[in-house]
Amino acid sequence: MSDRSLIAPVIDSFARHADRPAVTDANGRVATYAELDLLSRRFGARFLDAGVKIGDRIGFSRPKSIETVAALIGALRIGASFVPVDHAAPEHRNEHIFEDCRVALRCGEDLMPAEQAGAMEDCPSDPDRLAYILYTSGSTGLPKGVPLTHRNAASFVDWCVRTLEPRVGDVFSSHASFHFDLSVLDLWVPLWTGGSVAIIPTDVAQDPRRLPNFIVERGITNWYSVPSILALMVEFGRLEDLAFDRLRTICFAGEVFPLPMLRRLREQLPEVRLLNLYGPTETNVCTWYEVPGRIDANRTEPMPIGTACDHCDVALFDDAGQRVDEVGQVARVLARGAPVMNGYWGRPPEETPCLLTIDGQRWYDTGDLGEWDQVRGGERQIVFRGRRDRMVKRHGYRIELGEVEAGLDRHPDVQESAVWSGDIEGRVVIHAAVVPRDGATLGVIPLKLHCAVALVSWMSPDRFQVMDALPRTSTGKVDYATLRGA
Amino acid sequence: MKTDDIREKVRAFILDEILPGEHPENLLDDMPLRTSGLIDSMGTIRMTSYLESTFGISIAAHETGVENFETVDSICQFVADKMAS
Repeated sequence: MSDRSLIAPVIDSFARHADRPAVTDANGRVATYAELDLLSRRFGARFLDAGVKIGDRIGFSRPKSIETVAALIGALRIGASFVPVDHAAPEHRNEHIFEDCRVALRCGEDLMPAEQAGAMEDCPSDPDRLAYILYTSGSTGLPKGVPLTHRNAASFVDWCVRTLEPRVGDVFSSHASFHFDLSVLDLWVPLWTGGSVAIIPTDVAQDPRRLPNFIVERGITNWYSVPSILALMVEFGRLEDLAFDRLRTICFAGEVFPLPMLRRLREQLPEVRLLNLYGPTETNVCTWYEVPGRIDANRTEPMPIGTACDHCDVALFDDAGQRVDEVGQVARVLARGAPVMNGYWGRPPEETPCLLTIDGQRWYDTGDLGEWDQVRGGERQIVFRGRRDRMVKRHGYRIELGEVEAGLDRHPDVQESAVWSGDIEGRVVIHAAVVPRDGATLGVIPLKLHCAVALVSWMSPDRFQVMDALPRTSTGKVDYATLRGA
Repeated sequence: MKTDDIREKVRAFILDEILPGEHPENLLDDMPLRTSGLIDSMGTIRMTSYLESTFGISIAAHETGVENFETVDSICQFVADKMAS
């Protein structure tokens, strides 16, 4: 269809599907393709009036709505790119992001479209032009920008269209926030193919008791979210009481789906395609695995992340840079090809050690570990085997534990802190040890209250302990092994 | 069940599951829990299921908002009303 422009197929849809619904907002208000076309042109005109030029970045800090979707489209139509942030995140974090990528304009909730679309014309497409920047947690405490071009994004959306085979009139859930890479599928796959985007109200999105009804009421055909919300729906959503007549596909990504919960989902929805998608923001989705209709009763470990999508290449390499093709050896997961970013925003190649050149080809090292597994009677699949660094995932969000420590250290009474992760019954739990400054006393409540304003909500530690000093190794580094065992 | 028993069980859940390590005296019964960020949406889900199984009540999806789950006091009142109805 298109593997070069994220926006050109949407403009085609405006003409082909004018009277069909394109976006339904949280309250059930519907915008047709014709209405979305006009609204996005009016936003484009507004951006041009504000002096935004081709190649400029526009920062987006606003809730999900028809207007926000139109504004993102408007940005791409005039050749600009969008930088969405969590409007509920601490202001200093969003401020850093907008300054880091030098946005030409900030599009907050109060920014209105122009009265008229006027002479706004669609900018000629350029596959190497930036489409958006998504910021992810950074190990040094500051978020880092992942810039993705039209080619990067379009190659992924094109793969989705070929794999999910959406039909005109399909309804795609929009569960993830727009600053989270899962939203790329939610928005662009339906808009390319005459389907509609169903925005999920914020309060419903986190409520496993209300979500199943919402899926049925909105007639959602394609669901996409992190596994944790699906697991909560399995546990608390009473799925067996509802008839999911329209639901055809559930995709999940962002973290491991614990097998017992996935098994229950499989049993509750036997007719629905279940796809495990894998890939960090830097690569879009790069491997996938279709969960079989019956999960082997003897299986105990999570489902594989699968094999490379056909728009890219994914392979395992050992620490010496040798490709690992045999079964059973844990190695690094690397990806290359059309969907993979060229580098982090504003960082020179020498500061981007995750981009490697092997035999003349440029690979991205995901930091994940994997292993080839020969599933009985099937083809070989990659199984996820954890991380090499201090990044953890919670609700699909990437959390660099260093960013959590930096947030804790901003508390005036904290001298130093150490953060590590563990799990309780399959749930990721973040532990923090803090050392108070001389004479200060620290309790759990003040620390939690501090984290609620200093950190993005999903990064806040679950467990705190106050210590006189952090344990150190003989080289003076924080001894995380001792903390874990304490 | 007496009001004091409800309060004890609600406080025990919050202190054990949400704020482990905090001294019980520091958890005030009128302290904002949701709007302050002390309890997030996942914590509310777990608490809802704890209240249902502990007190044998049924909590509807729309009842788990700030109006009922903001403070220890409001949670206890909500549970007592549920048990009486």
